[in-house]
Amino acid sequence: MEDSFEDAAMNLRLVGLSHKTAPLEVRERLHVGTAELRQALTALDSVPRVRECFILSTCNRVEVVAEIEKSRDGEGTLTNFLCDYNGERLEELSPHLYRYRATGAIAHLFRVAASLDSMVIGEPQIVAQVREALAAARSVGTVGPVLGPVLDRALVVGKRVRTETGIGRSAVSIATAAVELARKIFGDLRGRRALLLGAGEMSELAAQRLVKHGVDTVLVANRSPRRAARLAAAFNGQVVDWGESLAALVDADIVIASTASPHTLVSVEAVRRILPQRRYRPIFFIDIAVPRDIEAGVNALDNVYLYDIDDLQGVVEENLASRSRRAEAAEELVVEELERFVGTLSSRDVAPTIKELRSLAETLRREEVGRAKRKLASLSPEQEKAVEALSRGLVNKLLHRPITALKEEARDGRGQQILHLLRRLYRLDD
Amino acid sequence: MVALTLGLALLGYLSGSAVALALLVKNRLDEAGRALFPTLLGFAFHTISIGSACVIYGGWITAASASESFSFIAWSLVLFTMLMVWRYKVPALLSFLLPLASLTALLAFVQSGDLRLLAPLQAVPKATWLWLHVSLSLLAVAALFLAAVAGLVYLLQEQQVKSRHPGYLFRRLPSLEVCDRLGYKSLSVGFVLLTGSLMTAAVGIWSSLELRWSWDLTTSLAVAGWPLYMAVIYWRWAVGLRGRKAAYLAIVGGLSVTGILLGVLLLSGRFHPGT
Repeated sequence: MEDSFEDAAMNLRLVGLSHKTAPLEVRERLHVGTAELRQALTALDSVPRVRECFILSTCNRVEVVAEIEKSRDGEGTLTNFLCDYNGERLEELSPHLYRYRATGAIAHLFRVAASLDSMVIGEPQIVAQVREALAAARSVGTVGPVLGPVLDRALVVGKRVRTETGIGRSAVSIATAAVELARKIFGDLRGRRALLLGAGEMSELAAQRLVKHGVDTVLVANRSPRRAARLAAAFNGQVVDWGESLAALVDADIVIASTASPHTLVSVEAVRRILPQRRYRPIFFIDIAVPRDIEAGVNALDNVYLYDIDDLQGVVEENLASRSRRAEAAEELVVEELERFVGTLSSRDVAPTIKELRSLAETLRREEVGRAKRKLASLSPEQEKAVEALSRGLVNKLLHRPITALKEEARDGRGQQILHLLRRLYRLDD
Repeated sequence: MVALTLGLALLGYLSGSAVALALLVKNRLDEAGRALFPTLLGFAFHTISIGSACVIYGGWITAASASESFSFIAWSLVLFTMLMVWRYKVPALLSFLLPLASLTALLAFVQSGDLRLLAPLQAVPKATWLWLHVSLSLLAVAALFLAAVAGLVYLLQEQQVKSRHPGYLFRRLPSLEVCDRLGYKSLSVGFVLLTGSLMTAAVGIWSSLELRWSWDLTTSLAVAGWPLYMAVIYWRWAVGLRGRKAAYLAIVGGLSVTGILLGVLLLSGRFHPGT
């Protein structure tokens, strides 16, 4: 008989490096691009004693996972693969590597999929990256009955962590914090107009985010008409003459200011003047400039909201702290899922045995019923039905107790002993 | 039958409220739609309860008892809530509005023992104007109360955003725009309903030989409140009154009027004591 699922899972080995253990120049040397992934998987699969394998390569980690035939040095096999495949020297690469085995490898995969090992805890990209890597591995047939369920479960755990802890909900960059605030002010951002005063990289990022979330008109005002035109073209927006930028506040809903001006450009008085023209519709100022472009006092005006760079950074820091708190709950959830998954390892093995047992019993039943029918000469249809029912009932009753005992033992993690015994008693492996 | 279905409705609302509040605390408001199923079930039972009362007691809503009045107000609150959730696609509103509707339904249920103990209106002919007046009045109370609640939620959220250190409530409360629009729409609908209520009363009493216009607290408040509500709506339409000022006015106008009317109802068992 092949290794049970539980035994096979204990043969899992994981070796890898991440942003926590290796600098970028090391990670980028080992990085496996999407185009090369299948080739790398095939190469790993061809390594002796590797039965199943999986590679995860993102901008922050490269990990190889494999089910390796019983061997004392499964980690060594994978480490050698990483060195040989990438032309790296063992003594240079080894200090950056982490190694996990058996349930430790499963636990690590669960944590990675739940974004608990990411550079930004709660980041949403990792789930898609794991899913794509799994799809690639399946397409070349390197993932089978052992790694498949483990990785499928990791994806489920990742989704559960995100849903139940809300770990990825809050914004953790200046740009996303700005969008989050805009959405809390305006609700739906579709149909809103954004005005860019100046042309800094961060304001461009924030504008990109806003456009992605529905802002459909971007106005750009800059002292340099060429820069304004370039930026407006990037957003399919319109250029506003620098001299008319204050007048443009009347129609703008979101204003992103990031000029290099040494003094404020937008005063409290200027905003107070335009409010009646706007019919007091709310306006959101995002002042990323240092020194600030917008007078702080505008925030006190009704229907006017102002966030400067420190305020946005404060929002981001609070959100990161919140994510850390949620990460504790997420870790507990991962532990719970791991215990449940490990508990099912032995249960998985009993299903095929139960099926074989029932199949054997049915075969024997049919043989005996057929023999009996031949000896009993002609039976009426009712009598035939009665004989069939009797034989089925007997077989079901006889099998019920051993099968129930097998399931109970498996649930309690002691399935292997009774499984082997049953297989020997009924000679299922003959 | 009336009390039984009202009790089942209350169970539905309380279940919906519990789900919505739990999701509010856990900040999983995108799943607040889960509260809709028990709420809709409760609403169905509530509709049967009100319909049964109409059939059993003569085919019309009279609000002759506090229980009937609270029941219809609660039903209206749930109806408006579901309409708002559908219109603005913000299931988070359930977390704030359902508990209030549940409380009103609870008041109705607690007082359901006195259904039809007071029957002076049996002396009044079953007039369409009275049925309209009562229905419009109760719907107006619900709408104006909703406007007040929307104003309160707006102020809470505005404080979060203005503080520049958004805290616990920030992610849980709806956006300012939604709160503002909800308040304005509720106020407008409430104003139209109030207008209809006053007009039906005026026409009905004018055409009745037995009834006289009574300047009790309820009537006085309704008549005094009417021009104020009109002024707020006009101010919004003409000048663009919105935001904090509009929220304060909605709270003061909505809570004071509905608070006093509900107080009258609780104390005397009817909106027009002495009639």
